Amino acid sequence: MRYNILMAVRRNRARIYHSWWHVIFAFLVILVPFLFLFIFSEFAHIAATTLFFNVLVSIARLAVAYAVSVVAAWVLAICFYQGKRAVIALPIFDVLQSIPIYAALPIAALLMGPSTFTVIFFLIFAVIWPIFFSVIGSLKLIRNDWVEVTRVFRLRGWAYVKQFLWPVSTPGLITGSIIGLGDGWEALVTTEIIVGVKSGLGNFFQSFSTNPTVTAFGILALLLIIFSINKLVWLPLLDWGHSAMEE
Amino acid sequence: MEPIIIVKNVGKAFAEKPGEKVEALANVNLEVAPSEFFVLVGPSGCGKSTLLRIMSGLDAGHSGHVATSPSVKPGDVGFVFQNFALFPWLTVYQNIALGLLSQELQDNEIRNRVGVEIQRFKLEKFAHAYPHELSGGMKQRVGLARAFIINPKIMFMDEPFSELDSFTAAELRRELIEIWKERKPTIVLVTHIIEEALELADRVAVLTPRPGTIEKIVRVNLARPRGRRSPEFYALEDELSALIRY
Repeated sequence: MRYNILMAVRRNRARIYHSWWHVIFAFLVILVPFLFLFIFSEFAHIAATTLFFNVLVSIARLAVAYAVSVVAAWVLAICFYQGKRAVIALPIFDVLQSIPIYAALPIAALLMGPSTFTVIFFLIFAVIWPIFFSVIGSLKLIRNDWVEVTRVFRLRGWAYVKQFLWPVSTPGLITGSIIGLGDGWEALVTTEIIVGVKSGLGNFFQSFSTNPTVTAFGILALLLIIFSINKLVWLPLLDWGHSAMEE
Repeated sequence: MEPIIIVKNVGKAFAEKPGEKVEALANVNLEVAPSEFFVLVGPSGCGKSTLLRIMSGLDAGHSGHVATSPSVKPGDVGFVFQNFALFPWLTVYQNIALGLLSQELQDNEIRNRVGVEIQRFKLEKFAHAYPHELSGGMKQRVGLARAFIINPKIMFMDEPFSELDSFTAAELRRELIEIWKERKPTIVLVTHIIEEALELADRVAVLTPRPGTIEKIVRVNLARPRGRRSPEFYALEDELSALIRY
């Protein structure tokens, strides 16, 4: 309850859109990929609903993988960023992130079956490490006198997490999310094709693998979607996250 | 009167290279009385900030011991940092309120107490500004407000005015004296400026060059507000200057 006082004022700074023109531009950025997909479906003689469904299924898989990764990466980073735990754990995490886990993808697909769960499971490994190491990077840059402020004012428990750890880790979380999702998009289609799920963009690209025009336009549509999400969500958040740390 | 802080045989050594120890402090002994304005001065690198941090509990791993009066509870100690140490993601209001988060207070009490400090430190127009929008002087006002909001029994200040221009520093020193007279906390302040020490202190402890130890503790009996141009002020300035070895 008493943290409401702090949060009420803080929200002002999280404003992403600065004018009505900015909002209109944002709507256009959302609209263009959808229009493109619609025109593309007409051109390729694919039912628009099928195309939209495949796109949404893929986005949903990546979103779930991202949600799991971001929570796990943040919690792991908070637990292992300093002290003896960091000395022991960080080299282990570094080795773990280097394991070519996708080499195991065909076997896993065989054992676990061509399910959405298998796709998400493997996507997590593509997304989690950039987030984890970016958050670690942010936490390692914490100024010593900020830590001392938390000690002097006995900031502990939830207040410590909310007022200190969360804000200092946010820039790393945002940067890591951008890199992690970039890797995620790259892994998404491959994973869907290898696992052999019957929906999603992987399935779509595989169906049209002999048609270079449709494949090329499909990749263009994917790029437009990624561009829109970056423009609407990540770049403003990146800007905001770093301006929040400006002294 | 029982001292509020006792420092006994305190020493501190740093390992700059493996197997090579540098003594920063050696055999420091002093006592600070309740509501006293106590200032530490000394040449650069003599360990005065280290001593302050040891006294405040921020620095561990020292020899000897530091004790505070049983009346001083955890949370009764404030600290003002040389580089302000404000959280850039919080507004002025939020930075000041930070000191109260560990206390079980209702929203309206937090609001009232932050309001009092904002007024006291003339920050009304900047309550919702972020630190990067403030001048150095304003930032240190926030640092002072954040430290004073908890009504500390002991306030530690590590060269709080060294990052400010001389006019702002003089103004803040005047205000600090006013607040100290109003609230009467014990203040332990580190400075390398002799005039600043004489303007503020009841007593000034002069530290020797590394390893820092107490060279002499000088009582300043001048009436406040202290004019820097009085013969007594000059005499004390000369005495302290002669004591400080480089």
